[in-house]
Amino acid sequence: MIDDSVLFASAHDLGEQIRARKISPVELTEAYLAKLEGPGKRLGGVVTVTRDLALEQARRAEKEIRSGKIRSPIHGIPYGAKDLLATNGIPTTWGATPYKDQVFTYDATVIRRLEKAGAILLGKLAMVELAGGMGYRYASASITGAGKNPWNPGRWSGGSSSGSGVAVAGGFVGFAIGTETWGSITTPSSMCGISGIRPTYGRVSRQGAMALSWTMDKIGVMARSVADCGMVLSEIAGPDPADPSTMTKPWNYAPFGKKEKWRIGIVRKAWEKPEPEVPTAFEAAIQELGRIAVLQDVSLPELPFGATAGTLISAEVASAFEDLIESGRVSELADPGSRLGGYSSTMVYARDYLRALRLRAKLQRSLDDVLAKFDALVAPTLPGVASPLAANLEEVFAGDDPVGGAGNCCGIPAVSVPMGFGSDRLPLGIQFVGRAGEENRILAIAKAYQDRTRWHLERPPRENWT
Amino acid sequence: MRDSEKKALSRREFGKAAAAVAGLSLVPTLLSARLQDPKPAPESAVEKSATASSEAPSEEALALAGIVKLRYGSRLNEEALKEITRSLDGTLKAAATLRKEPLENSDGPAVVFRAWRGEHD
Repeated sequence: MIDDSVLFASAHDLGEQIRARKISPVELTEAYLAKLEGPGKRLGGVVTVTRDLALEQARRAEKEIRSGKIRSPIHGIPYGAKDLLATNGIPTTWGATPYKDQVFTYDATVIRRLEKAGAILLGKLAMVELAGGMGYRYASASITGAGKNPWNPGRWSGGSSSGSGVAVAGGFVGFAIGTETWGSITTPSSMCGISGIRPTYGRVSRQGAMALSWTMDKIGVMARSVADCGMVLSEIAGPDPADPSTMTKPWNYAPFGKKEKWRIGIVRKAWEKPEPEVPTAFEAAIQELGRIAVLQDVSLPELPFGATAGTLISAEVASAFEDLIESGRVSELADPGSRLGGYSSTMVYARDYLRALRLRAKLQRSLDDVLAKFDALVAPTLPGVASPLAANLEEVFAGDDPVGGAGNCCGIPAVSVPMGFGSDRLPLGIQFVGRAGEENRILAIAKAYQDRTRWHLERPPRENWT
Repeated sequence: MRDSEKKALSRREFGKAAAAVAGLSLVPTLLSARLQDPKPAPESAVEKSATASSEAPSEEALALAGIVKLRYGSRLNEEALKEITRSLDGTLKAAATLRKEPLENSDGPAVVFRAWRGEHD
């Protein structure tokens, strides 16, 4: 019998106990499956539970580990994948009704790499329809309805990797795979009080992943600690001939220390109108970071990062989902915004799209000039806590997002980790943003912060949904 | 409040309305960011490609909405077309923002095309 506290352990700790044969991968898988099929579904965190496959993979892992064959640090650890990653013979809905019966005959590279590492696929996790590419107004913009936040089921879990946030925060998986085009890993990570990494563009192969924006989509990890994010990223990162956008060099998680203090740039005006608890929690985080880093206030270059990213996504989504728009099947999408968004996207001029691509190169250089002076920039991940389920999200998120806009426009990595609580004891997040290719640096700083705080060890009140 | 601030604010407010159908963001918060405009646009750019008012869509947006109606009108009601028009106005404003940043002829797109040679030898 697996105790609930085990289900909330970090993937790192689970791996250690599995290798020491204190935990059986089969028993762990059965326990997570029960959670995923029960509260996981009730909270709108899962689309498809892959019970048979999971138990088959768990039995194989158990046999191998018993015989001393250890594939990787995540061997025997159950996980969930956002439902936009192709899985052989298992439905992949992209969170959207028009694709509810879609079944691929191959696995995405990420799924294959995790299988090779011995991880166990528990299920396909819920997401905002088409990863939010058509725009959306309400948390219910998904084939599975709103992702309900384990900290308070009356609140949203964030998007578009909604189910990944639910499953990690609820203790329904050991870790989860999410994706981000703009905010889709960092937002649910912040709202659900978990750690999440958006890697450098090209770090992880997107072969077999739903394309929303070829020049902006990234695949990353959501987990219960920074170290878990690094450990899992090691297994899925690296070149892939099937995805020409992947970086040519392999990547491994190698957290490193530093003799002198880190250099951290503080972005104080990341949000126009943060909730009152956000600056308070952020100041406390800065105080803590001041013990390990030299801090300096910094402003991002005043350049049109948001407009550039927006133009790129808008033009690319119109092409990626041209068949859906042309057929009129966008009308089957759940959200009123999603149903109309594609039509205006079809009208982006080629000239403007190319201008955005040309500007992007300039913006990358300008942003890197700022980032090069620091080991990381930090800012609150979001302006507040998770929003109510029925809220109009345009009203909730009315301001600009210069850090997320610049980071995603330029394809640079970011890690979001818990930094305390806001109103109604809901989690808040802080993001560490680094230069392209510097995942290990920002992971090291985020881990150093996490080692000095206990926010990531807080767990949601389970009586709300068990 | 300075005029430029008023202008920026009105663009953001307009962005909120346009965001509903903008189809560009993964968190709705960011929808309005398409209109993020750190430097006020020159009047000429605003007049030419986007609306001067935060309420009425520009003529260009209306013209583009006409094309949308031509292509997809049978499945869109007046309310939907109105929303799409507002979104198109936002798209044009974003494009106007991009055009304020100078580019040299040598500033190529941030994508690399490679000639392809298959394995047929």
